[in-house]
Amino acid sequence: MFLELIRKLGWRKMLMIPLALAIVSSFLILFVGFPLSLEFSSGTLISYRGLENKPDPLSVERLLRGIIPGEVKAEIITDPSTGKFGLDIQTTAVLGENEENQVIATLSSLGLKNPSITPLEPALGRTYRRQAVEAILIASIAIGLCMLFVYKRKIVLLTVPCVLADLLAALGGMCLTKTPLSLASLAGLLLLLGYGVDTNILLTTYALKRFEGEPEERISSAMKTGFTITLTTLFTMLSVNVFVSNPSLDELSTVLVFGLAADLLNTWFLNAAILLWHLSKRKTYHVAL
Amino acid sequence: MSLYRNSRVILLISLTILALVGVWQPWRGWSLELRGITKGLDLEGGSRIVIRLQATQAIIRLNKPIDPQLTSVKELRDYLADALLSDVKVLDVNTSNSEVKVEIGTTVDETVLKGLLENFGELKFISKGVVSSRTMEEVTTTLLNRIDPTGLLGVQARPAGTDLILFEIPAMEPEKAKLLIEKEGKLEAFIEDTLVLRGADIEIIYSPRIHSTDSMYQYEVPLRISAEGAKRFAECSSGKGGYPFVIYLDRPVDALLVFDRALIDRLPKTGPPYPIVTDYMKERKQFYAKSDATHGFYLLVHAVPINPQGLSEEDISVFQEFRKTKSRCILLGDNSSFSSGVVEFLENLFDNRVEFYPQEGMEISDWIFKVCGMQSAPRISEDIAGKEARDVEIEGTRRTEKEATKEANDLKNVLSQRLTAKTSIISTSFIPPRLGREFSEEVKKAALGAVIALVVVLSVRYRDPTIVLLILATMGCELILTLGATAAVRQTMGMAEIGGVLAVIGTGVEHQIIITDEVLRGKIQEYRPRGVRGRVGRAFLTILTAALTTVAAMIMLFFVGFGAMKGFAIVTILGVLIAVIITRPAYGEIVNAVFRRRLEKASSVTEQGQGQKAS
Repeated sequence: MFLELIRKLGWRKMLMIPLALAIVSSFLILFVGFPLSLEFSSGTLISYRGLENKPDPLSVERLLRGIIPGEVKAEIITDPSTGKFGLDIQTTAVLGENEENQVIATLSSLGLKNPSITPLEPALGRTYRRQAVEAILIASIAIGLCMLFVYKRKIVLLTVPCVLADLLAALGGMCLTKTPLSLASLAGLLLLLGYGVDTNILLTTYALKRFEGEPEERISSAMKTGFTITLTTLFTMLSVNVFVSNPSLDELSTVLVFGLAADLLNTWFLNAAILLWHLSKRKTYHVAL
Repeated sequence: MSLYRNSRVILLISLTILALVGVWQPWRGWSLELRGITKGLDLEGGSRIVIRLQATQAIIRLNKPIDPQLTSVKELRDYLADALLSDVKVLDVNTSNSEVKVEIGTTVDETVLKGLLENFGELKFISKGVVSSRTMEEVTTTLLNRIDPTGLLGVQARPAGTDLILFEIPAMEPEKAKLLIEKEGKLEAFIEDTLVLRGADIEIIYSPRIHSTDSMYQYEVPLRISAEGAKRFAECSSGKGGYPFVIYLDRPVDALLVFDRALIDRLPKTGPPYPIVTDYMKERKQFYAKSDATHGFYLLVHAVPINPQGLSEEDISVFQEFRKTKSRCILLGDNSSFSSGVVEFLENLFDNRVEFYPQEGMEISDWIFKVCGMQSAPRISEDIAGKEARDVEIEGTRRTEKEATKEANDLKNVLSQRLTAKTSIISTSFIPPRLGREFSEEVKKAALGAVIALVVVLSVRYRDPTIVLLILATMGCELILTLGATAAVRQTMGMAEIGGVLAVIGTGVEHQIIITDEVLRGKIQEYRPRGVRGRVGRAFLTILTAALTTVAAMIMLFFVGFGAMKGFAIVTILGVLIAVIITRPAYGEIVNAVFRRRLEKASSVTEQGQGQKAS
């Protein structure tokens, strides 16, 4: 089945689908965008201290969602020295004076009085975001160097953009589903890096290190294994996404579902097409000799 | 050879049992909990500490024009740093009107600053409560390194307002975190009453050394000081061979010590061990300590003896005099050591800034040294006195090796993580787990869903229950081994680390599929004993390359990334290494044995068939 597909499409057509996906993903990221979670966004901290009774964070969150845009998270805290309760409410919205007054008035109906309101900077601020981008860039270079070391052919460096295309598609998926960039979705993106590398290495090993049969046959043989492994993870994540309502697990699995689906195209069509093109060039060279 | 005697399989099983015991810790209870794992803020809750940075920003117009080399600006910066014993940063220089904007890492009164600037220029503007983003970032990074030097804890910090930082610390008692945050790391070294070195003179801090001496443990933290500091040392130590070189850390220069008069009679008169506090000097209002039989030094913190039951007129006037220069008061003892009347008077006088410093089993000398911030008083040997010595050591002794190691490491940590601005703790509170109990229920549901999905896909693909079972069992072992390794390195398990565990299990299943496919690709009818092992070997090229690449990428992520990314990288690296060294080889052996047995069976059936035909 896979062999017929490869032969029918040829490397030029194989390239088209993943490239189109990358373009659509870039468009979504640039023009639609994804929301930022509390860790990545600036916002406001509304704190109440010295409360005798334990407040109900869920009803506070429900009330505030009606008047504040963005994410709202309320947490009960306890003061170890006095044993009294407190309530910390973090929002991704930077509150203006009117909104502040509205929040104070709304929460006073729940018996919460005299808050302190402080603007919050992102926990993972500018420096961290720069570091994150640097980390992904350096990790990509490391992946490229390892591939070069093992396969000793420059063409394998193109694996790196294929893996990064998975991340691009996952980010595009986040834009579509309005999944925020949080620590959980970031973990998902990093996970994707690992999965993407694995399938691309499987493909490259079959294409460049094995010599039995035609390149198309070798790639189709690897494709069978590759599809099994990606589909296994994809279905696992899909079941997590469907059965679990926890926001963190939901964000992580959404990223992986989109990313892994894209990985099928980016590895077995984009990178496979690149390797087929490379091998076809090499074959011509051999014949000429 | 039987699978049960195969070293790789034995290694997998025994390590899995070991990891299971380590993670479960059945001796702490039989309930099914992961007791060996340090859970992160999301799962277990933790402390939230809000600190305020104290800084003063000022615009100063200099008396003389600013030269291109900025000499006058540097002079001003060094002068203010020396006078205020604080870090001073130049934020902006305007050469056209000779104005300099500086940030001083502590709160300074306008009148004090004006007085200090008399010979330098005119104070144009002063503001308190606003801290530059550079200082905010520096202090955040320093405190993160102090609280969580390895990055395994996953501490989160976020700036709030103009001068606050909010820390969320999982798995650490608020008291310990508070101690680490409160220390300023301000180092001073004196010869007699002359300040010879400050923290800024330290260039390198080497690893501490611990050795035992007469049932005690001595620690040494070697330091390398700047050439300028060494020059000052040479000037001050000339002709003072044998004198003590007294090193303080966070000397409470703004505080007045108050102690029970009876303490003076309890002071030891002579050593060893040295240094010891032997006397109290009424004229200087300071304790006196001996560094050996012939030399000694004054502890440069003012202290006043009182009758703990009531204050005399004279005591009251002494306190009122000290109140002009001291902003807080430290009482040597606990709440019960002083009458409520005394405490109340001092609280009123010092605007509630009164702290107790209990003895808590310490020797009297150690107690006084500790409250004064005196770290060590090494002897200046004759051969380095008057010379530009660049290597100095801070020493101390403790009763146990563990205490000495902890003290030395804390000292090194605090010294190397000196804060550029003074801080004060605004609030300490406990925060409950974010993901709560329902999260573990959700995780159970997710795991069940994932296993069902896995069984369905693998069954459709292989139509062989043995293979499905083998893959699932190996996956289980890998999960336990990764959790065990995570517990062993004391990595806190938060959201990012759960992602790492998922990555390890996910890639684990991938690799087992690669091995299985490779083995199945050989045709059973053409069975050759070496063939199966050879095919497993071929699969390992793909697996090892993938592992190498993942580890390389994760090492980069560990060094460049921040808290959450570091946790992810550590768990993934551990999991991948375990997989390559333990689980994959064992799975290879198991698959190898299973297929060989099947092939042998198939070939014996064929042979029997051929035999029957022949007969």
